[in-house]
Amino acid sequence: MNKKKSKTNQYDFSGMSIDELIAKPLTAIVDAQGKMAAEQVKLLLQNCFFFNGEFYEPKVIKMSITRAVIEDLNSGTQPVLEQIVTYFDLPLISIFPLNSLGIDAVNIHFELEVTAQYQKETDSADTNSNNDHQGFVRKNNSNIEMLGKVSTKAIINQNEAESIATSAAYSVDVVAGPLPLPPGLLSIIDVYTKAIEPTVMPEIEK
Amino acid sequence: MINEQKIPCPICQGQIPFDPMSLLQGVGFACPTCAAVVSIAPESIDISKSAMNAYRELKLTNAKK
Repeated sequence: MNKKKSKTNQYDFSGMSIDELIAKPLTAIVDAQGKMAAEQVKLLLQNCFFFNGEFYEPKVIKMSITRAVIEDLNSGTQPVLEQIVTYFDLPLISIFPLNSLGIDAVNIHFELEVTAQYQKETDSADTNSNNDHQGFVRKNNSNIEMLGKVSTKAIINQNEAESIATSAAYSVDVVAGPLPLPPGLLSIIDVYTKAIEPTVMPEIEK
Repeated sequence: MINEQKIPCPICQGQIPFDPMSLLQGVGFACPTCAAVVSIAPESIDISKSAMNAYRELKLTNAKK
């Protein structure tokens, strides 16, 4: 039972371990999410703020609100319905649909099937060389699903060399969907909104 | 598909649903509580349009990657 393998065992896929198979797409997605977030911040700073040399000031757009007002109810004449237009300011950031840019769900599927071959030298004959590992299912809260099927089939030839096939089907589904705005950004918008609300000045005592 | 967002109504403090793209085209949105109509003032359309165009370009760039 003195086997020497020229390559690693059957859990490897083209030189990568199962852990790396899982981690690589996740780290790639995290990187992609980070790049998207960085681009969003850049977009926000360039388009929703003015940089005055020291700090960023939010761009404010003017909005109009129209409402019907009934006048002269107590004057004895016919009441008149008038359209009153009021203008108010709103931070541009508050109408930006930033929350539509985000990765919502990630599904990773593995279906491992052995096809590649390598040579293995043996010192003694070993006929117990059929190994099947299948039905390996793993799920967690990140909606990651892994179906692994590693099947090795050993063929002992006259030179006592063993051939083992390895290959894998690998698919990653990324779903981008609407994400809620982060609480920090909502707080900033709320602060801006409250800051631009008109306030009634107290009467000055004469 | 309308990307619905909400802004607070300055009159009744209710929530006014609106679509940013339609808002930029001059469409008004009514408050479901007090029926006040909110729209963007003509002098602010340019600044909003440039920002939304940049946002659209970012989405297209990300879609191509």
